[in-house]
Amino acid sequence: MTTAESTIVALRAEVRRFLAEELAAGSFRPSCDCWVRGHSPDFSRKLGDRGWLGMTWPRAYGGGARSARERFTVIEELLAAGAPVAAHWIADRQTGPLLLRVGTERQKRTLLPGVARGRLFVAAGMSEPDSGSDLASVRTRAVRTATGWRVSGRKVWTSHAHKSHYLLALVRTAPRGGDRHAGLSQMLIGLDSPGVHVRPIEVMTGEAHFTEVTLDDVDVPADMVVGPVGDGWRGVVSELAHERSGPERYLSTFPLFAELVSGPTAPGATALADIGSAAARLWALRALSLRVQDLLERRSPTDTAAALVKDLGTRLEGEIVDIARRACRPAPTDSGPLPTLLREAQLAAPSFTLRGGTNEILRGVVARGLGA
Amino acid sequence: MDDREMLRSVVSAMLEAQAGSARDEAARQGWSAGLWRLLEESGLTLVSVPESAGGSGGDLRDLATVVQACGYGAAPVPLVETALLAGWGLASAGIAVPSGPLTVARPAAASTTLVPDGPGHRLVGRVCGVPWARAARRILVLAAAPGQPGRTVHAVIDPRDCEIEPGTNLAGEPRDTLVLPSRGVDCRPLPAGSGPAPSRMALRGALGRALLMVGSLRRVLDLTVRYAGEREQFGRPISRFQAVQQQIAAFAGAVEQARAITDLAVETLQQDDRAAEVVMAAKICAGHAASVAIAVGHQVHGAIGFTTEHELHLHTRRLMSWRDEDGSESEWSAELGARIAGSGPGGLWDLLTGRPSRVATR
Repeated sequence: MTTAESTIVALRAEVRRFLAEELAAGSFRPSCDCWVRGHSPDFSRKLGDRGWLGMTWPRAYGGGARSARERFTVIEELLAAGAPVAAHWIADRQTGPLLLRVGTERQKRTLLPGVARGRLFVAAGMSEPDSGSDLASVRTRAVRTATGWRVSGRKVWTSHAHKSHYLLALVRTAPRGGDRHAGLSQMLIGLDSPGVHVRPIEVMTGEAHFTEVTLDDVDVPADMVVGPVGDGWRGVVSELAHERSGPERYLSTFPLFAELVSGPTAPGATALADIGSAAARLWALRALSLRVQDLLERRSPTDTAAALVKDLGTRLEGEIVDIARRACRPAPTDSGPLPTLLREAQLAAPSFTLRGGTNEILRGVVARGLGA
Repeated sequence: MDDREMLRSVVSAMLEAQAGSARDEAARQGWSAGLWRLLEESGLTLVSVPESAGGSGGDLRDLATVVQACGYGAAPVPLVETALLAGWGLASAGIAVPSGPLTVARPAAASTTLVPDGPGHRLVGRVCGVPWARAARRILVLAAAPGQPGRTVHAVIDPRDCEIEPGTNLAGEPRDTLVLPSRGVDCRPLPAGSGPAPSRMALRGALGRALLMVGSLRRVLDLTVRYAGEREQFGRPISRFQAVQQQIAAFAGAVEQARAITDLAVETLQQDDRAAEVVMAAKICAGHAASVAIAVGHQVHGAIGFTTEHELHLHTRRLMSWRDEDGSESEWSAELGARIAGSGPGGLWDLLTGRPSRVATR
């Protein structure tokens, strides 16, 4: 990453200024897990207007032609502040880069500018009721029609499908043969298409950001397939490295951590040592994550390193919740930022080590990557 | 292959070729004079010390490469103490750096006294736990000047003027007691605000230890991955068992974490040689990883790893010693946590995103 340090410093200051103004204007309240639960189309539009979405994409597609390091700086500032970034998160993080890699010229021209302006949101349609960590076992099927594909099946744990424009769905376009990774394709399905039914799923935090998407003979035009038909698995794998190694994998509970160390209640000696230990490991993870971003930019293999970041990061996110819980022990009715953040984080924590591939599966990826 | 990778492979090859004889020698006298001579002849013992002060030049990143290779090879030589600590300390105090093994001593108030003597002081008593004292040609002693906050006094001692009571850490590395001559040792003040203050020396010690640990951790990981692939149980390599894979992956994660933050600490110190917190973070992560490495390394190796026939114990015993030397993970965590809590709103995030910070006077 060759971006001048002065560019990064200036950009960081600009994002912090923006966040301070938004906070002062009351446009958001800092929350934990903001990249999943903080859905605000209005806030996403503001980021788009400032050029902070699709930052690394070519200008021809509405991007900012900035470096990966600049994008990293913007997103880590937004996450650390607990800003509502969920509406555009999937499209900016993985759909855009996927389209740039394997999308058609038409797809890039019609879709990317909307994503970069914070006006077009995409939901990820990977998981299914029976697929869990074994993504290649998806059963949603697409069969050819005169004009494209007819898709039937069920997607689940899809965040914000009820508030997005497209579903990027992983579907089987050829019967399963010897190679279970063959015959899969990804296609963009308009969420307003006939036959699409979206049901929000209430989770234990009391929210309903997850949805179940039923696809009932949905017609999808042929030109909405992303990448070569039958080659969808490659796209999924390339998305996973982006999905697993970013700062959202260790900063989900950072707003709580920041409030704990700088809030009005001074931590005791035990808590201080816990804080020092967690901060050291968080710092190391950031260094590791930056290294992965660097490898991604140079298109070097990163599966193992990305899996490591997610395994370590998500466990640390959970540990930070425990540190805060032991340090501040709020009464159930306490209000104020720290008790509120703690309640949110505690209820969200069980999902950290599940989403994006369970940590047990990731550890298998790591061990095999090491040659064990 | 870049220059530093070349340096690493040259040093590694040298250490590997000498490993057997160096270990025999260390078993007899605690260190290997033969290996030391070879490293010194190759100009590897004073890397990062300016040539103008008698060193062999290069920067901290070059030295870090050599130190990690020494950790990887469990080399029984005082490389960190010579180049990173005493060499740096002497050079930054404007004193010519002598050849031969060097070390530093940090006197504890409990066993030493600084007696006023004319304009200066005399240090009397005994200094415990001096690394490699028996091997050193010179020992740099640093102490806080009594009644003068922020000022440092120093002495350069020829150990032949002292009595040395041998001692070792769990790994058998010399941690000797230096019995100072009865009339004491003259200590002179260093110029205010410059040179090797004890707090800066302590941080460099922590960094050196973390670098050795990262080298050793990587060796244990390599040994463990290899063994898991070779050792068969129930008709298949034990690496095929998911329970074993989980352990190895957690181990690899802790090692990568320690490596990433230690690299960052070296880079940061290269830019700003008073950076403090990132060095603490490096020693904390290295200490944390050491405990994982010891547990998983031995669990995977089984009984053979517990024997002295196998190389593993050389690293286990070093990691056990090193995680506690130059500040354990709990000591540095308490210090880092206190600094973070005292840094106000946004302080933690500023720290993690790279605003330079300074060593506070302790």
